[in-house]
Amino acid sequence: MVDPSQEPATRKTADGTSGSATRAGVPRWVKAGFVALVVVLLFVIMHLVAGPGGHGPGSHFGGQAPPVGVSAPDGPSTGGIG
Amino acid sequence: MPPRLRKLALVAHVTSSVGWLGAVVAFLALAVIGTTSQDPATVRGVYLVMEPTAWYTLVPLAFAALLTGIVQSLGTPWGLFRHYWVLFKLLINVVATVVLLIYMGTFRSMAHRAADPEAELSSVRDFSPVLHSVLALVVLLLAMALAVYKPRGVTPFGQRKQGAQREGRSAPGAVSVPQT
Repeated sequence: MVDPSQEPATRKTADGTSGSATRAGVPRWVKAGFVALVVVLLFVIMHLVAGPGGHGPGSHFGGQAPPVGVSAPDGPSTGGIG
Repeated sequence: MPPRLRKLALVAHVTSSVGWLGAVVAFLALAVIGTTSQDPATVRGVYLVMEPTAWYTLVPLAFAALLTGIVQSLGTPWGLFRHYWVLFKLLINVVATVVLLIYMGTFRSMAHRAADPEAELSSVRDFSPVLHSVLALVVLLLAMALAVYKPRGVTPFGQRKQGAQREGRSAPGAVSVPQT
């Protein structure tokens, strides 16, 4: 959400320029954030395409009802059919 | 964007974002009940109700937060791609929404298992909603923290825009327009 009272135009340094604009390079938190985002995306992709034994390609796209009379193994599954 | 319209967009965005957060908290409660309750009817009911509830609450709120956030950012000097905190919020929202849509399949699978009277209770219980709800909470709280703290950092696109604006203001005969 954006708070109009803290818009970038009001955040000035002593010489009147925007403090954020005068800083060169990418802030450290941005680099860390991008790394974390890439890790999360990789994890999500791996989670979706994991082979048999983990989560199959359709584990999160499932909609198939289990056959009547067949029950899944004991213990909680980790995310659906897989 | 006129101030009144900007405030309206802000209200819409805050409402949908906090609503999404609240819905995730409710889902976490359902997920915990599903894994801990000893009443078979309660356990099955939890997983049966998750899918339709997600379609009527989580998905609309996710899209509402995304759309109102885009509208609001484009209508303010912050922009959508000028500041890293806005960009990160956008990425968080998009990724969370995509993951949610993918996870709807899991909700459907769990509902099918819960609806099967032959399925044992241990196979109906699923820890996945607990895990995913906690992760969703962390991600949404991170987005909220970014919105409040607004850590500094201007993207290269934002720096070009600021440079163009400064050149426009310093040009001979340029008329400065007050920021609204």
